[in-house]
Amino acid sequence: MTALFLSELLKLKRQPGVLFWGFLAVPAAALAFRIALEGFFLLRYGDFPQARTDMLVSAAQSLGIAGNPVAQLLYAIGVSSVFHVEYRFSTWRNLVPRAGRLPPLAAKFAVCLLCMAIGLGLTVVGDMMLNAGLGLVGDGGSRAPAQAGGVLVLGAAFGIAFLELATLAAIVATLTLLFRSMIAAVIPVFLAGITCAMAQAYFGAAIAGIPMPAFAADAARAWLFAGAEGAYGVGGVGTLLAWLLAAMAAGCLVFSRQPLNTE
Amino acid sequence: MNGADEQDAIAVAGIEKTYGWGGRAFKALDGLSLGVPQGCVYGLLGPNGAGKSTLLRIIAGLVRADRGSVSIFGATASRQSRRRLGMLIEAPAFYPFLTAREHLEMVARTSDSDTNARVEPVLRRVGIGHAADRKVAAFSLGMKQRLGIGCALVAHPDAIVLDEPTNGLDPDGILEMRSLIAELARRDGITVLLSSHLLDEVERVCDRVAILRDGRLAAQGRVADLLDGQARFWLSVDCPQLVLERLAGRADAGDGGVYVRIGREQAPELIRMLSAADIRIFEAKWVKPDLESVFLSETRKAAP
Repeated sequence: MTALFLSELLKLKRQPGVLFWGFLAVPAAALAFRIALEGFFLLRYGDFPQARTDMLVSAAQSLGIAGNPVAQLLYAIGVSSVFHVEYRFSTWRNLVPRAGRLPPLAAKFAVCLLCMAIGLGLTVVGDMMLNAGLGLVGDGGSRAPAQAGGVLVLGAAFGIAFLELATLAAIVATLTLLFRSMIAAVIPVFLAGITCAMAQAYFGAAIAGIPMPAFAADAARAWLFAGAEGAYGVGGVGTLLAWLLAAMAAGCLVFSRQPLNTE
Repeated sequence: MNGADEQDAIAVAGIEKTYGWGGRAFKALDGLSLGVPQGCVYGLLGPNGAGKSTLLRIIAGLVRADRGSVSIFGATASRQSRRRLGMLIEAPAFYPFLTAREHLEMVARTSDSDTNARVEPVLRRVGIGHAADRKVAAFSLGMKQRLGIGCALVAHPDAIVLDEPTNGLDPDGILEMRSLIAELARRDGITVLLSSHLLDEVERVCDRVAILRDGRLAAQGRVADLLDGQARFWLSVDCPQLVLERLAGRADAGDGGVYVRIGREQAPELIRMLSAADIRIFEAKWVKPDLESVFLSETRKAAP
């Protein structure tokens, strides 16, 4: 399993386009967007928009990027590329006889999770460094130091974002395996994400109960930043977990029975 | 027919595989059974659509059989037992962004082989040592074919399965491949199962062959036995027409004489009979067909 994991890492390392656009573009874009926004306020109003922000809570809030449909599109492209490469170059025939069917899938999924975790980590680090830098440049007093409770909030926000991305990865991987196509996996996921975002904007809390991953993740985040009172956030996490497990099981089932006579 | 026994490196029994459903169903394999004895070079022959590639894909675990079983060195085919096989199935398939060395290292690592000790000798053995650190995207088809065989060899296999191993090779490459395959079997004791359309190639390199037709086994055995089994007795006589009349249904004119289909033990009696009939015999000899003739004869027979 370690050998398969290292092989997948090597393949990703040798495809810098996939590595960047699929997994690192989101934290880079999030940081660039924040810098642009803060710069705009500084130039326009001579001050920064946020006041007395806990660095850890700010970093936790920045992890909400995981729920952005455009970010999810980029992650979906990354995940789908990792799985689709074997169909594109007909290389399942080299892997499957020796490694079986499920271990290569597990290795690919693990690599995707690792890259997504690194992406989220970079988002957190980027946000904290930006806040620290802005504290030095602007009114230092407006950037509050980290509070002890912020660590818990950051950890929980990281967990929710990671779970949301893991669910996305499992769904995209399953669709890629099912249709043996990147387009057929990425476009439906993107459209579903956009539709959910629009529905949420129009209908608000009225549709929050629909068990979709996007609504579940938003509910969990809202619960966390509202002080983690009540149990509705746990329901969101539970919905995400159910989607993750169902998508993983479906992916394993599809691939374990898939004839590889024409990859 | 079940050609498998305990000594077989690879054995398949009663394999059935149908692609598609209903009116579009196509039976690729129809109760096929055969055994590849350990240490031999076994050729798999058959026209397009006979089921060769499907059989190799089932052995490799890429396609599931509808019925039947595959065993590898006596164990039911599984991820573990397939690790004893090296495979090159159909066209060689590689990641264009990786080098030849990286491909071999990946295969060796996933097979728990001693990577460093294996990769260099294999690169040299298949003749791509000079291109080891070049990306596969820049490889010719022949170089990819060599790398494919390298991948099949790098993990200490006890048997290798090669689908059209000389595809894309130039004449020198074909010669090298032939001697490599012979060396693998004779020197290293590796069992080789190969499919090829090059009958001359198979005749030169294989000890045994199986001929598939419509997903079934049409003929199987040692190459020498198959050729002997279809050998014909040729006679040069003073009046061929008389011989054709006397042996109606068992003789054909050809090559300036008469070909007679008889068993070896019947030859002395035939000569005595012709001599007694005052037919003068100038020359008599057994003519073995080549594998191509055997192949054509077996594959053109009507399916049972």
